[in-house]
Amino acid sequence: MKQAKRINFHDIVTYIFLIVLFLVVVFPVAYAFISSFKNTSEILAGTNFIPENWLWKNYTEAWKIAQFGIYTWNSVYYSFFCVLFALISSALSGYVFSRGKFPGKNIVFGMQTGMMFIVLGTSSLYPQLQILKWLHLNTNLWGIILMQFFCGSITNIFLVRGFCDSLPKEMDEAAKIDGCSFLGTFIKVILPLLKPVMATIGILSFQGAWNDYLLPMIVTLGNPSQRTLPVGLVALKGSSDAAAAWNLILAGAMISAIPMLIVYIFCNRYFIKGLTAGAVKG
Amino acid sequence: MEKIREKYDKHVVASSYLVLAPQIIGLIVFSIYPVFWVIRYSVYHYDGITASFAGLENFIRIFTRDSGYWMSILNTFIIAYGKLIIEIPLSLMAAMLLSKKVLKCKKLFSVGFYMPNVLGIAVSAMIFTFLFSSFNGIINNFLIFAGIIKEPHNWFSDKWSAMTVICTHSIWVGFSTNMLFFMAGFQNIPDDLYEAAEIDGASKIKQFFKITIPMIAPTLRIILMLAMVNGMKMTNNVLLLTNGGPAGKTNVVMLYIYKAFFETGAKAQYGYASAMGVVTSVIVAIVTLAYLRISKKSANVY
Repeated sequence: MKQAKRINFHDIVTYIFLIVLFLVVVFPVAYAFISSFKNTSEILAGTNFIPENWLWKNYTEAWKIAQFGIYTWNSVYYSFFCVLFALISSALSGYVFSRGKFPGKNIVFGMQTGMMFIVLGTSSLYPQLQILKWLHLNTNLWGIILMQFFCGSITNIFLVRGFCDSLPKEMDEAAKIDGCSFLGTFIKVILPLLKPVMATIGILSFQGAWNDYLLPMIVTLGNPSQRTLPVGLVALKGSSDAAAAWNLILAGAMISAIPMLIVYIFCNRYFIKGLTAGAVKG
Repeated sequence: MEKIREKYDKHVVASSYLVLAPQIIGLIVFSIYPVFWVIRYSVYHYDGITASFAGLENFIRIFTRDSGYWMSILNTFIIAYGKLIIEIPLSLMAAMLLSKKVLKCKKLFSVGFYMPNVLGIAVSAMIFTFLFSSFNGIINNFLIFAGIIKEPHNWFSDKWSAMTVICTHSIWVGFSTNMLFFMAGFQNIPDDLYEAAEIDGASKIKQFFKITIPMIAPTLRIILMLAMVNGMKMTNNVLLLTNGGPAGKTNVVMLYIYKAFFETGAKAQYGYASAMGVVTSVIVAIVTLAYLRISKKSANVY
């Protein structure tokens, strides 16, 4: 009897701790969401928690006047191509690094892994931009999309390679006997099995592209019509009449956040799976 | 020659290289070339148009005259490690509680905790600017209500309160990542250990220090490692929360270099900025190697 009571007490403390932590974590987003329906003077006064009138027009104004409609479209196609290229390049490279036998394999793989250890950070941005400038792609998003095509993330390649390594080699051999070429085996045998890994990579690169800030900001500096949502949001905050536009800023923040949150709610297991897999392997 | 032909299937070799071609080009053009570019211009005075050889002048300037650079390095370490003082116990605690077998709504909790990660830096920095804003932001209102401060505090007006905002933001975003790492680490601890300890009469606290902590030491090592590497790369959060302000006092190293490249003012100094990039990557390499060494030694203890 006593034993049961003590366990209950522990459980209650556990639940209280977790619920409080949950509320603290979720509160900033919930508060910003609620505030995005207030008018500016209400936001600046900061007195009432729930808006007096729920102003949907903050969203329509952000969409039309503050150009979040254009930003959304830019974000959509930018993310689409980044995800597409991330999927293609990581699947193919991962497969080749796992199954291909060719001279120089270890050198190429070793160089790719080795580059992870040279942390140049922001100092590599400038030379990269010089290359894009040389290709006349330094003032729009296509430059970054191109870079995405040429630079697959090594973490993603690791993920696919690890998964391919775990598949039995006999399958390849059977396919080969049936007349499949090296790449034919990939398309017909391996790729269908890669689906869970592809889902993880797709979700993670979507998250990365949708939220990407620094590079899209730099390339769209002189070209506001190319801004993606994060870039446009920060630009609005930095504009001259920012203090009067907090309602639009918050509505814009929610326009950027909500698509991501919807994907997250439905696919959260991929986010978490990719995180742990990437860290252990990478 | 004959041997090589036997070992490699020509068709496989050709298609492998065909598939990897973009990757190899990208590696050379976008990863390796910038490294050489940065190293080369680190010994030049370069304003984007004319370059003149400078020898080691840029490096001498970093080591003798540029206190802003060293402050940004220090700030990087303060933020990257200072936040761990709160973040690690918090994430360990959350992981332990979430790993309880009887717990309900596990999924809901972990999905909620991880949510700040998916928002993206622009949105989350905007939300934090809003919460901490000096015009009756909710944090100020709350602190006044609780009687901790008397009048609204401008969080971005002095160094340490601005650093507090940065750290709070990174803990808010990052603690769940570490929590998930710890939870993965817990799964590798066999239940037998706890059962045996239970039979031997070890208390829960003793079990925690004698079983849990040693068994998650590898996880802890990964977390510290990632904190350092990611900490050195930290740019966006500081750029968007304080932009290094007030007066450059909260600059972190990558932001400082970024500004040297892109917010050049009257005269661009790409050579000097490159030299800072070189010094920084050497510092990162040294710290990483030293850390790997030390942690390898401490791993032998268990």
